[in-house]
Amino acid sequence: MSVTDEELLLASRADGDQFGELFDRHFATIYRYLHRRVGSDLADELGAETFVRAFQHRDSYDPQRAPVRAWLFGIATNLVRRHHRSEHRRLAAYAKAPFDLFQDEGTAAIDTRVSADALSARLGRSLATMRSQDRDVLLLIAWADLTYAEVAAALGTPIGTVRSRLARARHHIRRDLPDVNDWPAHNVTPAAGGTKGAVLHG
Amino acid sequence: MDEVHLLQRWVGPGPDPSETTIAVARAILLRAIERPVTRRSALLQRARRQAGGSLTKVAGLAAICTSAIMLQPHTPLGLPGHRALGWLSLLLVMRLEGGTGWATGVGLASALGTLAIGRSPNGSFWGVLQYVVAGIGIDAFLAARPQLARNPLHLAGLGALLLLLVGWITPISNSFVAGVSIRGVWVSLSSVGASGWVRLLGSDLGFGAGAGVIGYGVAWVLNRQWRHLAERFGIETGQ
Repeated sequence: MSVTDEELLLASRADGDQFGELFDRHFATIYRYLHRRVGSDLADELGAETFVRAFQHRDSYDPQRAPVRAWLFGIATNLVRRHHRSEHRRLAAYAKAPFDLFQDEGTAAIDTRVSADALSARLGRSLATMRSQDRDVLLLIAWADLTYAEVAAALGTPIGTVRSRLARARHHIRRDLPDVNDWPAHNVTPAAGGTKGAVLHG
Repeated sequence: MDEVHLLQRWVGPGPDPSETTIAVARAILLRAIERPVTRRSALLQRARRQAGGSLTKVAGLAAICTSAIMLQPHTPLGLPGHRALGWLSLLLVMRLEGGTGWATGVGLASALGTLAIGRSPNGSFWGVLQYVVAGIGIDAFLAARPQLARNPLHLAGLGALLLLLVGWITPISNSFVAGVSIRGVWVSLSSVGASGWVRLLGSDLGFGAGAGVIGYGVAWVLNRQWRHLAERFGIETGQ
């Protein structure tokens, strides 16, 4: 029977080498999340720092409050907060990049592609002007694929707060992109990590 | 399409880390694992963890709370336990902001400080012992049931229970110090009428519950302000 993350972390309190297995299990996932939030250079640095901090703080980990994976995402998110300028630069870069939302469609959709590029810029601005606490919740669900309960555990907030922050974030995006719900959903292929967060919203 | 799908589609899945990135990160982690931790730094790290990442912030708050409890005025309202709205709520704030041990520490410091400056309600240690016992109680209850700290109603219940328990320390110990026998104390208690009991217990329960709600509210505001400042200036808030 395989050892759970929580058992490994508890074992690492006595034998630090056990922590290496947690690194092997989760580093790539944490890195991908950080890469999407702050870009490659900082993701290299913060990815390593996330695990060092987790190791240093392993005595305070409470398995009843959060799964190890959510706990690691919480540490990574806290580290991202120290680099909000880098995150804003990253969002600006996304906003300028072509949006391949309709890459599977033919040339007839060329006007729609132009609209999609404009939408990309608006989405980037919307995320950049959102309250950072609301953005953390939204991106932990969208990019880290955490559930509401896991986000609550990761950020150390009640689940009701997670719900209200997510509602505020969604409202913020809808206000800036009132036509967002007009985009067809059939063409969407979920990002890596599945659609757990999306399914929660129905 | 909803916002979550849109965001997932917007940036794609994100690239896997390169072999070099993994190797460097692993090397950094291994160095942290192998680095010997001295006892002093371990104690400091533990205190910093308990303080939620900022020992300076919590130490400053502890100094303010201790001073406030020491200097809390004695208002002649004639309602037993009403001062708990001040001292008990501050002890709760310290536990919520600093973690386990801070309520006891501030309770003890407040008791000693109050005695030192001669502001004990009756001039003796018994008048301030309730700070220490309540601090220990807060730490013990919330260590055993940490989820209580997340709900103001639960904290109200805890505050009411604690004040009900510690509210008796001063009057009963004063009786013993004054030479009253156990039988004498019992006779005195049993002579209290029903309306007196309702007033005594009701005041302790009400003011204790009030202290719980105030403590939760103050900690909530402090956290909100602290996070706001931390985000604004890029200060680490710990995890």
